[in-house]
This record gives sequence, structure tokens and C-alpha cells, in this order.
Amino acid sequence: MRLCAVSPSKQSHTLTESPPAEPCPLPVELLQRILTLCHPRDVISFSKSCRLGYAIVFHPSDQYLWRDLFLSHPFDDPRKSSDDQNTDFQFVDWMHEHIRRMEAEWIAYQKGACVCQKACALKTFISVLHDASPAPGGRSSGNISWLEPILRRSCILYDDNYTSDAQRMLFAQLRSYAALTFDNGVDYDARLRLTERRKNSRCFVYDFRNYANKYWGPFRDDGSVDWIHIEHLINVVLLNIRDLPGSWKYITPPLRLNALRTYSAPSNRRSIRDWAGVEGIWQRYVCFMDFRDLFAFNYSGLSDGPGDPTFFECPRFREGTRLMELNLKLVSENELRHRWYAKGSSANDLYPPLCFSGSTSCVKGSRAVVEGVVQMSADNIVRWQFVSTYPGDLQWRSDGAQVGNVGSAIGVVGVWATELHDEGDPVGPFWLWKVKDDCPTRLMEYV
Amino acid sequence: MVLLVTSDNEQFTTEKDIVERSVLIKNMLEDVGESDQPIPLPNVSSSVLKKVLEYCEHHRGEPLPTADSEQSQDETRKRTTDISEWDQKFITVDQEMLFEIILAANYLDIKSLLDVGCKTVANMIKGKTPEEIRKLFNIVNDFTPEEEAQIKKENEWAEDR
Repeated sequence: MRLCAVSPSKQSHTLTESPPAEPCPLPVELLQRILTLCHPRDVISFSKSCRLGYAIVFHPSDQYLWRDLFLSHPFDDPRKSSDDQNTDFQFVDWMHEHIRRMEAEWIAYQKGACVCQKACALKTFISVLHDASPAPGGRSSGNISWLEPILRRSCILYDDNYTSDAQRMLFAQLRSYAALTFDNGVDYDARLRLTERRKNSRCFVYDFRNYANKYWGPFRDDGSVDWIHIEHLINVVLLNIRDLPGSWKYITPPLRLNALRTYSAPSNRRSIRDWAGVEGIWQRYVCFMDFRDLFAFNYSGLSDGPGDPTFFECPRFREGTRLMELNLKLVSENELRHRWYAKGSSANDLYPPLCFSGSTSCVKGSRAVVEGVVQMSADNIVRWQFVSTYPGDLQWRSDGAQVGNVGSAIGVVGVWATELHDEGDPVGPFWLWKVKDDCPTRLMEYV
Repeated sequence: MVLLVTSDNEQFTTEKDIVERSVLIKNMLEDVGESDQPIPLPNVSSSVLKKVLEYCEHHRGEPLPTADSEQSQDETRKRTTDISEWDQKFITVDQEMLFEIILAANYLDIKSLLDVGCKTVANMIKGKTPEEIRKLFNIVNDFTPEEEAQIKKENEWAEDR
């Protein structure tokens, strides 16, 4: 409902039309200036004082008030959220975006919020992370400073009574971005919740039936990222890392929300062409189940059938974890041995597909040749595909999605499997993240 | 020396470098050149000009904001509603005078004084209910009860305190 009878663009109006004893003497432009110094909550209170107040706040003649409020909140300027390649003018509806965020924050703390409201809040939080200022430049991100305490203090990362597939996908995406950094509770209940999550995630990740989709890996049939799958992969790898002996457990991919920012990874973008920050040294965790276990879990003839969660409750059950290193460089398409563009590659001018090759080494000393492609998928997530060929032509195929923005420090989470994806072939999770060029080589295998 | 004449026809004599904190007066002096002509300020009363000159005298010699620094100042201003101790004492006046000072600072184009005034009012609004804001600004509630119910619903998030 439009309440304003008076346009505030006529700058000479004072606050009231029917003058009280002493009308407020301040003109609209000064009231606006004062409001830019207030919290949006106080601005809303002001809008409720009278019709002209409402008009000044909700029907302003220009974007001055809300742009100033937005940027001084402080949120990152969404027009500068992309890297330098993408400085095209972008229209921002400052008022709606600001109110959307304030609403999302409020919903996150509401005990009785309905799932639709909560899904809206999730969507807002994800977009706030995507709009965070790029990491180079050294400035901290207002978006992340705002979101961090909300995720820490509210229940938005834990209430999962969502009813639709799309809602569950948003929930898993935000949980993937948070990557268990807010689940570090040391009390008994928190530990119990993590144990339960780990069991569910192992069930999902190692169940062959979850790999029957068209694109294979953590992707859905429409080519978009399957965040539910990604979240399970993250849970399995991270909780395995926490179990590693000695100081190995401290070798983790960079977590926390700042690791999602554009180009937050070290030694990013050695050349303009390398928009994904491919070239350089990467570390990679690979987790796996003993093949006999994997087979038994998937093809159990027992009454509880395949994919039974209690399989992982057996105290003798062990999962293997391997830490590897990759050295990658960009190559041209015709230098690759495989054809990569067969499926779903998008023609994106800003982010053209990049081909790369390199080598990978693991603790057993065998070196493999790696080659693959990185591209921007239609849902604006960076997608990685590569094949590792070991001597003797044993080939492993990996498919993953970059968590967060382009060049994020947190890296790429995905699935490894055999090249042919045959029925009954092993699968497991991997996590790939970039390290500094002078990072010492650290290889290990723990089973 | 500069001669200023207020709306109530009082004359103030002051020094050029004090009064040049006002961009309006600075520009006037530049336009007129060396002259003994009094400068009329028909929008400022003597009681307000006294306060304004007190402010300018205290901040005498401090660098004036340039167009360049204004941009970066706006960026760092953020929502720092902090006011320096002297300014805070200076601006502790009745509400009518506060508004008059803001209007005068706006008219005379004294950015730092305008900031002090606006921040003070912003601090007064902080945490207030719509009813308290009406009292503050002497506003009459002209919403119908239906409209009031509607706008209350529109921004539920701002209701919680």
C-alpha cells in the first residue's frame, strides 16, 4: 500500500502538513542525512511516525538514503563483488537488498519461523557470501563480519525441517560453506550430533545408488551442483582429518567464511587468462573405504539390506585417508589426451573453460599424470573435472565443485572414481585446495 | 576583519580565517574581494550565529575538508556517531537551538558542524519507538488505524527490540 501523499523530492516540505504548534523545522534533505547515520531499525521506526516520514523512507526520490545506509552498515559494495574483469555497471536496489538482509537476520533468530521464511533467509545468506568483497586488497569483508555472528548464534545451520528439495539444497549449500566451523561444540550433545552426521554422510557418500545421475559426481541431472552431496563429502573428509594421528590433523584446507571469498587462495592468478587460479601447487585429501567393506556395504545380503547405517557403527570399521600433492599448469585444449567438452560445457566469455595438466604424487612414491578442465557452470559455480593416470594406465576420474567464489581458499570438493564408472567400481570423496608455492611437500596415508 | 549582519540586524565582527570555515562566506568573500561591506545572513539569527562563531573559533586552524577528502571521509564515516568531547559539550543545547544550528550549518555550508548536529539527532532517534520519535520532532500521527496496522506488518523484523 502506498501511503505517501507527498513526494519528498520537493525538498522544502517539513514533516507535517497540518501544522502542529511547532512543526519540525528540518527539511527533507537534512532528515535524510540524519537517517543515513541511524541503524535501519531506527529508520523504520522513523517511517512509522507519520506519512511524510514513511514517504521519505520508502518512496525516496533517489537512492541516496538507502545506498548510504547499506554501505555504512557496513556491507560490501555489491558492485565491486566480482574480480576486475567484471566491473560492468550493475543496478543495485539498495533498499530492498538491505531490508532483505535485515529480515533474514531476524528470521534466523526466530524460533517459530516457517520453513519458507527460513529458506528465504538461507538464500539471502548465500547471496551475501557470493557478494562479499574479493580477498585481494586486504580489506576485511563487511558481509562476512555481519554474517559470522548470525551463523554462530542462531539456529539457522541446525534446524533442518525443510519440506522441498530446493529448500534442502539451500540448507546444504550454506552448511557446505560453513564447513563444520560452527559445529565445534565440545559438549556431549554436540559430539553426538557430529557422530550422527558422520554416519549419515558416510552412508550417502559410499552408497553406489547416489551415483546414478547423468553427470555423475556431486551434480544433478540439470548440471547444477548437488549441495547435499557436497555437504556429505565435506563432513566425511573433515571428520576423518580430525581423527588423524599427531600433527596431521592440523593440515586442513582453509575453513571459515573468509576462505570463501573471491581469490582468497594463495598465489592466485598468475596470469589474466588463469581466472580460476589453476596454476600452482595444490594439496588434496582423498578418503576411501577398503574395497571389501565398500562391497559389503553396498551389496549386503543381510536383512538390513544395502546402505545400512549400522555398518559404520562397527568399532572395527576404518576409513583410509591420503594426503597428496598436485602441481598444475594451464595447457591448450589440443595438448590434452582426453576430450573434455562432450558434456554440458557452457560458453562463458568471462570465464572460458581452462584446460590444465600436471602431476600428482602420493606417499607410495608413484606419480600420476593429471589433466582436466575447469569451467563455470550455469549456476555460477566453478566446476573441476580431471583424470589421473598412473603407470600401467590405471585411471581415476575426479569431479568436484569449488566451494564459495572463484579462486576461494577453501578449494574444491568432489568425488573420485574409476574412469569408466562401472557398476561396483569404488568411489570416495576428495578435497583439493591451493597452497603457497613454497609450501613444504606433505604426503601421508593413514588406514 | 569581516562584518556579518544577522536576520535580527545584529552586527558581528570576526576574523577572516575563523569565518572561512563557512564555505558560503568564503565564496562570498572571494567574489566580493577586499571590501568593508557587511555580509548579510538573512537566514541566521544572532543567538545562533553566536554559537556558530564559537564553534568556528574553537576549530580555528584545523584543515578544511577538500572535495577530495570528502569522498574518503564519507567512506570512513560509516555509522560512527561518536562526537568529540568539546563538540559534545558545545552541542548540548535545547532542541530548538540544535535544529537551528543544523539549519545554519547547512545554509552556511560548514560540513563538520552539520555532521556534529546530524549525529546528535541520530543519537536521539536511536532505539526510540515511533511514538517517542513523534514527540522528539513534534510530529502528529496522521496515519489511519488501518494504515498503521499495515505498516506494522510490513517490517516485522524492526518490531523486536
